[in-house]
Amino acid sequence: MNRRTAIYSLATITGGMALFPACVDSLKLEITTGEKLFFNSNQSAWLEAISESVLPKGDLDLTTFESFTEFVSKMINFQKSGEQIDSFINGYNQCTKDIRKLYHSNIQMITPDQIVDYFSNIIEEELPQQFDPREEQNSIDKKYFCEEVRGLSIWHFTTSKEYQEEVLEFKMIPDPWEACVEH
Amino acid sequence: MSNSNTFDAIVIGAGMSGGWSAKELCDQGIKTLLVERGPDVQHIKDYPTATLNPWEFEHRGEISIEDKQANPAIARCYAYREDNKHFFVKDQEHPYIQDEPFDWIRGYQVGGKSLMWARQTQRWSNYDFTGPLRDGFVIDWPIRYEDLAPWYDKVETFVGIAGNRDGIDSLPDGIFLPPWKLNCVEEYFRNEMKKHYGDRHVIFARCAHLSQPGDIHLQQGRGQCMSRTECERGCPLGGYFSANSSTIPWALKTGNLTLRPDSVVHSIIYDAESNKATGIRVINKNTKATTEYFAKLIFINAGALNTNLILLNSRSERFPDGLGNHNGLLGKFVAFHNYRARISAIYEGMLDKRTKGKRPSGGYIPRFRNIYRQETGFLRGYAAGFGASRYPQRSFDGIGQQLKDNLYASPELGPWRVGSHMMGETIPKESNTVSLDEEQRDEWGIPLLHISVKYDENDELMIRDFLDQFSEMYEKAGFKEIRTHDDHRAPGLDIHEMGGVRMGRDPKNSLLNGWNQLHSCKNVYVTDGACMTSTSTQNPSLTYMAIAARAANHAVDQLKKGNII
Repeated sequence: MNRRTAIYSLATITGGMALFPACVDSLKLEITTGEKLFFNSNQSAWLEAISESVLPKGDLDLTTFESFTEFVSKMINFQKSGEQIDSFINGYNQCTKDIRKLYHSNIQMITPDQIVDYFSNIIEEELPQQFDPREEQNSIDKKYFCEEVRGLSIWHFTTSKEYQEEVLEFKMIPDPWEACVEH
Repeated sequence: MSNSNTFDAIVIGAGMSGGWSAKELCDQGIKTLLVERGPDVQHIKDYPTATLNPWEFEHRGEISIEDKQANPAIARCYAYREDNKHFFVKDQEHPYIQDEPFDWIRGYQVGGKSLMWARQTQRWSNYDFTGPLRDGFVIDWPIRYEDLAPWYDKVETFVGIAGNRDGIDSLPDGIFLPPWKLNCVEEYFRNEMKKHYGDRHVIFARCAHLSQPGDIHLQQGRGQCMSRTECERGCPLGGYFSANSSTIPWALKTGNLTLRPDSVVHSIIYDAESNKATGIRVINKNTKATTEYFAKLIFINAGALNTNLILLNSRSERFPDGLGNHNGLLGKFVAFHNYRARISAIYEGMLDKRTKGKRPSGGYIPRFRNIYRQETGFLRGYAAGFGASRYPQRSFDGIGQQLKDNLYASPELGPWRVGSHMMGETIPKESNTVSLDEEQRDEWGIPLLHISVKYDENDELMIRDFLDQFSEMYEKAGFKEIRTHDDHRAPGLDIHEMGGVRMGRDPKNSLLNGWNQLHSCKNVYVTDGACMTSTSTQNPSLTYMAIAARAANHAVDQLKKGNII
């Protein structure tokens, strides 16, 4: 079982009961302002599935300090203001609601391509003009969430040992300085 | 008075210049106490992040939002990151009062800021030492280049400086290890400047890195710089100079040094009868217990502004406004370097060339304004950095498989990007001051320092000139997309605060004589940035070290002659 399949299996297990109201709620982030962002296992699995769609790792076994969802909660709590955390949480909830409404209420039925389509649309499209201030805020927060998840996925991936060494060719002792070589 | 608390000499501050004071004293058999207000940092052992890989940093090098909010001054410093935050003094823990905005960057530990410095080491010339006299500002320096040249030699030999003998009279050559080379575009720019101006030089910036260690460096236990460019974490190779890797362990090996970390100096003890300082009052950082230590010689190397603070707080009947402050000038004429402006551009040529590997320093453009004649509407001038590099143009576009493919694609190298930042001299002014608050105290009962330092019209004109001149220079070199920027930063982020206890010939208008002794209390020497009469443009640490070595040898000589008892 590759990593991607495993994540979807996990999503299936945790989301498989999504038709039941209690489980629908288990995906909803409910954090009051001032609290630290924390994901339960269902939310983590869903976020992993999103990240795997946004930046598929496939069979790569990455050496990182932590899992992606741990990284998201850690860095959002570490770097963002209370207002930004609120925006992230509302964005998560709105996006999750949108995706269910658009594709399937059971997240196990939602494909990576659908997540990619949804994220692409949100990130690339200009914010729609809204007359309802709450809707306007929701649009802002959805865009913020999608951009953050995409950015954090890239950050987590590119700071892995494998990416640093194999792609960026990081060496503890760099090559000797050569001031001018042919390219 | 306990014998165990009595030494021949006391050095306050175990950083860049204090390490040199201690080493020189110990080398000559002087039993020396070196006190440092921060914890001990032992070479290699206490560099916790030195060999960590990028993926081993929990926060990928970043600083938390709470940390930034709590410590806004250090958060603005380029070097303050996850990998070396433990070497920076937190604003919140050591407050000061900003009468004008001032970002005070400090390193309270054995080694001080020598652990995190930029390692740039250009000598001063007589164009710098005679500047105030010739240009008619502040007072004349009591020393000339010739006084310091042998000490520059000594320091450079011991520290290990990589550089070229460039033959520029305003930036004297020294004793150098082999340099790293300028790259093709830096060489191109050097030639263009020579062609268009003649007197504007582009050189490899001399730096305190062991490109090729000599015997004296191996004796210190230091090895070759491997260009890791992670210097601010502390270098386990000893590839760059720090007090931790060099002067302090050297002094300890003599058997003459006693090192006391966690020792906050409250004040200097003055004896009116002999008109001498007899010792220091120290508060243990952790227990808050007070201890007195005694010596015939006191060297103050606490870092420019803290040196001012200690002297201001050393009050006696004879010196009610601070030790040696017989003329009311202590804490005045503080100055710094102006690093506000920068410029960047691209060069579209040499796309068939690139660099390989890393190097610890780059290009340097010595001051060219107002050296031989006054040619602008402002006094003095600026030096500048210069660097050229090409970066892979990796795409982070897309989402899903497209994003992954982009991250794995072999990126094309972008064009050469070039950039310079100014390093301007500021004119010391009586109105730029530090002083003590009469009510507010820190955790150790020491008065908080007021800092009232700001830019003036001369600085603004200099910034304008830097941006104009470098725009012109970049245009002449054919650079495109030239962008200029004045970040309007507050003073302090240059980390080159100087003055307040300036040297001079006349006790009426200076605090220190030509040997760095307080005019009015001759067994007290000040040999850190506080002693500077003017600032010139060069990074000052090399000059502090040379001044400290010279003064320490003078002190030993005076001690041996019985002139300091």
